Amino acid sequence: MPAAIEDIARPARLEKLSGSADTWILNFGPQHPATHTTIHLVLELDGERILKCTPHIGYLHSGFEKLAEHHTYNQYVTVTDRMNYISPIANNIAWHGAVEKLLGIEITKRCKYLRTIIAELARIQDHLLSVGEAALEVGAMTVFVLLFNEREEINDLFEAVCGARFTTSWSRVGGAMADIPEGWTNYVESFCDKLTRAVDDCHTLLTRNPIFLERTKNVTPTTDAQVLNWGWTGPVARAAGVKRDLRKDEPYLAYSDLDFKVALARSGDVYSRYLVRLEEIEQSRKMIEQALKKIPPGEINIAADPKVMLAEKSEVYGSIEGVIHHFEVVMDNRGFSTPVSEVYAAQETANGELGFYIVADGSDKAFRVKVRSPSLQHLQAIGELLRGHTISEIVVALSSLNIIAAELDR
Amino acid sequence: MSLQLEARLPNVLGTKLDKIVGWCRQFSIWPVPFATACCGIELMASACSRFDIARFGAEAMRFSPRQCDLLLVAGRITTKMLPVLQRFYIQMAEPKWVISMGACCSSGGEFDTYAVVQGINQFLPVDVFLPGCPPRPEQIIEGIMTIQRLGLEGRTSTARPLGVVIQPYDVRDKVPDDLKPNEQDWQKPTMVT
Amino acid sequence: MNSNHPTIEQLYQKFGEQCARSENHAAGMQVVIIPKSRLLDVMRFLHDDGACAYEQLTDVVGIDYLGYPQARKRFALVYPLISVIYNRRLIVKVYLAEDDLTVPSLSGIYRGAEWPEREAAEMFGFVFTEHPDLRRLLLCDLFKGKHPLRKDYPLRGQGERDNFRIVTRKTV
Repeated sequence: MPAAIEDIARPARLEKLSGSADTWILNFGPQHPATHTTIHLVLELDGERILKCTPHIGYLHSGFEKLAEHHTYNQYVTVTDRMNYISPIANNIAWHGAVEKLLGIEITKRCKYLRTIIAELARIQDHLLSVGEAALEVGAMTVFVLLFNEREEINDLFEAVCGARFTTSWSRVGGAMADIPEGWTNYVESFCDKLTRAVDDCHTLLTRNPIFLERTKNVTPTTDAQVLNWGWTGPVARAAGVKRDLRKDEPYLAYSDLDFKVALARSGDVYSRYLVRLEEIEQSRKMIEQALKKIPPGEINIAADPKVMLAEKSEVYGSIEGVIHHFEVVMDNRGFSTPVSEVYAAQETANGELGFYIVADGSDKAFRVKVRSPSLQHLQAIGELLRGHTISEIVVALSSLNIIAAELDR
Repeated sequence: MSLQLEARLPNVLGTKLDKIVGWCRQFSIWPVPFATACCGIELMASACSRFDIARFGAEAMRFSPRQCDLLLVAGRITTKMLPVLQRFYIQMAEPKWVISMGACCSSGGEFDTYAVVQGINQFLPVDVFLPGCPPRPEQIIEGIMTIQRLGLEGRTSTARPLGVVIQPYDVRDKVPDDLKPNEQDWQKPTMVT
Repeated sequence: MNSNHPTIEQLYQKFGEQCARSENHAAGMQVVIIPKSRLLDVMRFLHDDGACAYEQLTDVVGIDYLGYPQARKRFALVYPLISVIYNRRLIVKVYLAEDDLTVPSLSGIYRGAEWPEREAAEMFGFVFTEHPDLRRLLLCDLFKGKHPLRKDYPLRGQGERDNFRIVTRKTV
């Protein structure tokens, strides 16, 4: 029994070089419970120590970027749902944020606040699953089920707003699909109270648990220079000490009116990523409570600009002008037009910086869309990160990076 | 096991034993969640405390093909992944069932692109198709219950897949008239003469 | 050209008229177009220089401009950069002609360029010299020699997704 957790030397000195006759090769994935769907790692092992790790990805590559050239800006939001499928609404908001930057549209204040609240709920959703998966990989299934229960509550909230629990497609160019229903804000407040209890339970069960500490402390430590060079962003970068959060550095939506702190850690190992995520849940909860009191009344969609914005459904069903307006915006080769230009816009989703590079050619469909996915940058480094670790640490390290295969492969 | 017994025992005993074995099998069906994408999250939701497929005996989610009987393909299957899925299916032992969960593996779904297989039933025998993107956990449970029901009736043919599609039904059809919500006036189109 | 982005000023001073500032971008975007021959020098300068200090390369974007109104050349590569210390963004763009798709790889300067470059290479056909490992990343072997994100490749593919063996219940 070692005297202190820090005495465990990780990663261990590698006694055999890769390629010698005593090593063996193991396929980890692509179908494996711990790889979070389809990631394939080819490991060269010496007993249990990893000498060399080569990731193979692409088992979920579905041609998202090619699809963007055939969908209009309002239709593509359904595809963005399927990217980071743990918090789909955040992708919708990021996509339409980029399209609105391209078109030069400023959305209404009410829409900004609502999008902020919903983006923070999506962030909580993502972190709950991420922490739950970290616990599940270590064997603490209770924590997984506890936190998943809170996720079901968030799914109910989203179902009240847009009708779908999961693949929401809520936002539209210039606003959102529909305004929030009556009483939704009370619902969110009661959810925030319940959330504190669940997160406290999680802290009680895991944060000082010697088994959890032994499995996660000092596993895959990273420094901030390394992390910046690899292109990491988001909580995994902040756990290594990188002081960057797009909500503070390049404020968008209503974040400049809200008062919150950014969680940072120093050692960059799995344990600090876990702590950073739990702290971000707490900060998001505070942000939601502040924002709920400040939602301004008014319209959620910008004033119906016939070139861009869809008309209200009551107008569409009730008057001929509404029908014409709808027709002009929705039908091909009419109405909707964009400037011939390019834009890169990024937002801070739960995984990191989700960016869209959109090239527009004047029609209602994008000419080229590139999705800057945080998971791709995170997984690049896995070969180097895992050298010298054991098999049981792969599981923990992978779940701490929160690699989502659909975002990775697009 | 059932086929061999039919060859040796008189018919009545064979079918009764078949029924008992079928009953045991159906109420402890062990799925393997072959989760690739978003449907995997709804599958996890159906296994968690709110929707709980443990009450149907399907709680033991084994990840090895040798230890399960139900292959739940959840999520889009790409050209790179299909050979892996096929090899996985071959490694499973009979009797085995396949549920194709969601629109993407039943027919390609939203992704009519170069990389996504437009329906795994072209290359793999599929027993139950679940529509939805993603199907709600209640629908997943309906799919598992269908296999249970059909298996109990004895339709565990090892020669042909069952080929059942879970049809979405409109909940409003089952709601009695006095409980139906009032439709807004603007939803009824006004006839202009 | 005058600009209010300090890095663009420094680039003009160091590299002269080889750097230009692009116009057809949305407001707030700072884009620099450089010729392919100076790509490595400019990137190394942007990474190492104390006043620029662009520590992070966010992504490598490949673009095929076939059919685009007023396109300069057929292909382009875009590198968005971030400076965390100074909280600045800069986008560097390189235009490439159809017959000359060899580009120096940036993975020596930014480790984070490895996989995005592999993806751009397989999707468009760029060849990155001195890349540690330029295998296919996202596509399977059926797509050998094909570049799906080019504009002349159909959305539904050329039959790769229909070409598999059929597994029945009798297969062993």
